[in-house]
Amino acid sequence: MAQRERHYVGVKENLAYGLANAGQVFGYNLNSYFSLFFTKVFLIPQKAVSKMIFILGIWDTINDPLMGGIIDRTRTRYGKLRPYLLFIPLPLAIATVALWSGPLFMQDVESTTAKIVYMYVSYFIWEMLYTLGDVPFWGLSSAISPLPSDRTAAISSARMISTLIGGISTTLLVLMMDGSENHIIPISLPQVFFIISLMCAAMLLGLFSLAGIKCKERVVQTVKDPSILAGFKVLVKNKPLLMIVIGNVLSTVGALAGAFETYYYAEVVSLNSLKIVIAIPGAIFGFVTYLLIPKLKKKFDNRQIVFLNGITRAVVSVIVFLIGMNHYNDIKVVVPLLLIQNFIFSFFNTINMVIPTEMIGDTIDYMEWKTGERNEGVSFSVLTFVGKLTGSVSASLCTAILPIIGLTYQGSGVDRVTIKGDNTDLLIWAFFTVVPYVLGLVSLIPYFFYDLTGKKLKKIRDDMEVRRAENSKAVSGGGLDE
Amino acid sequence: MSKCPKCGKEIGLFYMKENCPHCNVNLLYYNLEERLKSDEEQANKEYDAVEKFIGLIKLSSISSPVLIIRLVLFFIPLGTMCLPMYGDLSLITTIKGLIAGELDAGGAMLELVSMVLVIILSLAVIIASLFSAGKNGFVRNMIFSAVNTVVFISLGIAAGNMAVGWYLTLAVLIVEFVFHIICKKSIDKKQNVD
Repeated sequence: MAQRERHYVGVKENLAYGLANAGQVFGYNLNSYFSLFFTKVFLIPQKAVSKMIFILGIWDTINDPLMGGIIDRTRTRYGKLRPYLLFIPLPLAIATVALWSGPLFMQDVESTTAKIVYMYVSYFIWEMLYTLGDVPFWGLSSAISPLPSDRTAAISSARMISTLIGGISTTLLVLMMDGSENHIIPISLPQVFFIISLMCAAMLLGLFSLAGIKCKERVVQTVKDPSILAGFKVLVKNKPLLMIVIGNVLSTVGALAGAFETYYYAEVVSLNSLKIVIAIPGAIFGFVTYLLIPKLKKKFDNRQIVFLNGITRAVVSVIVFLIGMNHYNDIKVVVPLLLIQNFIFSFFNTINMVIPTEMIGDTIDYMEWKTGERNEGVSFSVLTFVGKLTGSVSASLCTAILPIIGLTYQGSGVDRVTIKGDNTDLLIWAFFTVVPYVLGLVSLIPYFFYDLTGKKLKKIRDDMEVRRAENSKAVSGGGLDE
Repeated sequence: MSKCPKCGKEIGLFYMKENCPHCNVNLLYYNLEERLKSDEEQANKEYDAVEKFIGLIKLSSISSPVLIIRLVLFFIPLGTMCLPMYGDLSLITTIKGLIAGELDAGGAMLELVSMVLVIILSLAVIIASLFSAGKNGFVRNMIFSAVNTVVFISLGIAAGNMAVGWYLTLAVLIVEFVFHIICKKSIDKKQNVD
């Protein structure tokens, strides 16, 4: 029988970490409806929404690393990450309700300018608080234990449970939107979003706070008072992290698929709920895939897995596009086709949710190995920033592309009319299925220069194990400050 | 309120500094080695219990190619039900009709119940299959699949007007029985080897 890997983090703590992530993404998943929410429900012009998402995306380039730097400077008796996880859930819950309740709070306001101001303010505050929770959360995946096996387990738990529970919000939203629009349930779209936002707030308070309450930091921070500037300098020296960041930035086009998915179901097949049926097999298979990750990692290193992921997606997407090219609005063809695509993608989606986060953890260890300083805050702020940037840019791009491919809306409320060009449906199909994945292949280029694999990674891990054992011994008597 | 692990004096919940205000010991790292050892012991206990459970699910669902094929097979009815099941009525036209309020739910009650039950019972079959390697796993799988198939056939005959999707769904449900038998052999073989 193979010897079991060592663990400091138990199953209960992993479960708490996973549930916390579920509570966090329950609300965050609604972001794929930002564009639709602001234009269709809040009735703000498409151009203003696109501009706001773009501007605040730029703001994130300053805000996220700054927050990361502040977090890296934090030293408390609870650790450097946990204090944020303890105190952020409450204000974040309030900000979430405020963000999605604009149309309800401002239902009597006619001024578009006032609505735009509300949109900017509520989104800005929500985004800032979300960052203050998100960066420490992912930083904790690296600080929760010095052992790689614990980190993989924590990340897998977070991704797995958040996939299971986090998706409920969008499922409920879609069902309630269909119900509201077809007068099956007697509530308006603004009320639908308000109810969902209340659920998100409850999940933030009930689950997200578990990360701060139940999880521990176990990696010794050797530098007592690092400066923010020093943190950024270290970041620039971290070549493997830079390669991941560039790869993630280049993958922005890949995120277009998610944005166009919403429009495909809403405007081409006119059935939002179909998304749920399509997602069922993939969701279940994706769950099982978590069990396969350790096996996959025995055969391939993280970099090879990234390549496998990108190339397979591109190949499958081309096949799906070609088969559905003449049948994209025929659900008899599209449903089985998308079911199969979703099934295959679910395998890679799962892997994609664990491996890149683990790779960031490796780059943090690499810098500690090289310089003696750990920068979970700055490093993970880059990851979360790039995640938001790709989300914002893709949503913004999608909103900007819609009029170009001939999809516009006229009127408002029940009088709203969708106007489409001759090839609009085909183009939405292309942007949903093939374009993002083929263009997304460019994101693989930086990984040719990522070298934290094989012997080098093993040496870093071995060296760090020795150093950490020494550090633990040194601080156990009362810490570095004794 | 909590206590300093070294001097034992009380420290306020909102006292945030790293060091104890009374003895100046680093509160985060004091006795770290011992705490790591104790965490490791606790983690091992928890992993022992979970590994046993996960091992059962792995052995039951993905330990051999035939089990993986069976797992895929369980989802095929979702696809076949998108083809016409009863006349022109399929899973998709049903959902679309219900949402648009164009479908007479009362008139198509048997067809609707048949489709809903296949989905619910198939889910039960999937869940049961995850424990195939457990005690009475094979019998449980056969019973769940039998109930699913019998209910599907009965409601189909009662509703009448079955179409291509219905026959294909039935074919998949029957193939599931064959796979349960093949999978049992595969699991038995694995268990004997282990």
